[in-house]
Amino acid sequence: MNEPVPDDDLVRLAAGGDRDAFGTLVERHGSNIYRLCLRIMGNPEDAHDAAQDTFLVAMRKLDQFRGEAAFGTWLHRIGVNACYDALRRKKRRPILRSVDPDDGPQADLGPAEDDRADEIVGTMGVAQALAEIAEDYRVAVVLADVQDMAYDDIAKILDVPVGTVKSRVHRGRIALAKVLGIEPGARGPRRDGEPIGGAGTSEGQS
Amino acid sequence: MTHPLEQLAPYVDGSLTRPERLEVERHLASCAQCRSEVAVASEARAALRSMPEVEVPTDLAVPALEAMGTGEAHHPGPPRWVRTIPFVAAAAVVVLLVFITLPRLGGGTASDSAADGALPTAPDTRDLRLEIISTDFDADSLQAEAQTSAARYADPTSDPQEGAALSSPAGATKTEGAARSSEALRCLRTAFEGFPGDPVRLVEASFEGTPAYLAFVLEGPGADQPADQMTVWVAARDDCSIVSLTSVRL
Repeated sequence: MNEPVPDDDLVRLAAGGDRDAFGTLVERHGSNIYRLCLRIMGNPEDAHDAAQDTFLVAMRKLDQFRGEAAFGTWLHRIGVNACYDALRRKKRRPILRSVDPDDGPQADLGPAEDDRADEIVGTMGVAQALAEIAEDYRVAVVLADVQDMAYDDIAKILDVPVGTVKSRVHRGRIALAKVLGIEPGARGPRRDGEPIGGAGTSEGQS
Repeated sequence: MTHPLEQLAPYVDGSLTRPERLEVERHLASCAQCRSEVAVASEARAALRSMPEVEVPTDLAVPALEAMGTGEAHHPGPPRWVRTIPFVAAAAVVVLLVFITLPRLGGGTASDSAADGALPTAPDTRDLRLEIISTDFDADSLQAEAQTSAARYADPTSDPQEGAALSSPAGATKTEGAARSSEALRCLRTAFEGFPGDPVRLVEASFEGTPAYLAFVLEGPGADQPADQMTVWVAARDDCSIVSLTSVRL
């Protein structure tokens, strides 16, 4: 019976100080933004910080949202910038960690060969490979293939021409394939759970 | 040979139009390099899309909400405690807070309640008059009015009721009694789930052309602390929907 309140209306309310409205926006977009940050940053801790930064910056800039793009697209732009900022601060490659918080400080998994935790089997291979490719390519393929965003929207998020986006996505896929050990015409797609490089592993038959 | 680099990504994910797709396929028929790239790019895309959903932390909004709570946002709303404790308790606390800081507010009924140490259970019982003014507020003039009211009502040496009539914006000002006040409060409560009740000033005017009720509420950072901001809640008179909300620091 109750229609969901449109994002634009929630933004106006939140800009006026309505915390419930802001909370609803975070509920709606939190999983998308966290997934974006996780795939760019490469580990849950940095993704968590970047996602929180995203919503903090968004809150501060709510009154600048003009509705020219969808709120989710606007939020992605802030999220990508938060990740770029975090990556600049780190100045090192992402460290992959177990998603199980009970693992504590021993959760660093090190190289991908140490692919051991049950809860991350299925993502470690591709996640590790993503961390290996250039940031601009990584961001482009995450937006296109993980977040399923249209090229026009990605161009707005990255503030580059659409043609540049398409080139980055293509180059990013090629770079990722190389890290994943995908050979043209050699076999089917390398699937999650297979260590990078493919040596000594069973063939992906999906 | 010129390779259609910008078309290969949308070819792989199937977002080309049919004519575009046919053009790319004509090229692929004669270009082994692009065929190879399309093949590996397709596999990489399949690998990316096979990644399972992730478990999302539940506290992503916490820093932002805390910043809103400290008034960092441009238009800070009511403090979190107003929304997190039950309405009646919130209203009662605000009533108590107002009576501590304002020795002469409203009629004798409320003062008597405070003197008796009894917490009022509803904000409507006080004899708060509804001011009817012809001003059409906008965001700026509402902020200014909030500032004026904040200065007046937060000063315990002034007479709020007297001051209200004297310094209302230009236009005819008259006041209505308890029945109209109750209607205004009911409307504001319908519009705002978190409306704390017990305004120090209740106004019937308009906001950017919309006939509206305005409630000026003194609010504090916590139950045992004095008011530190004046929030103006604005609801449409015709359908009791949210029109505006603004706050100024005392």
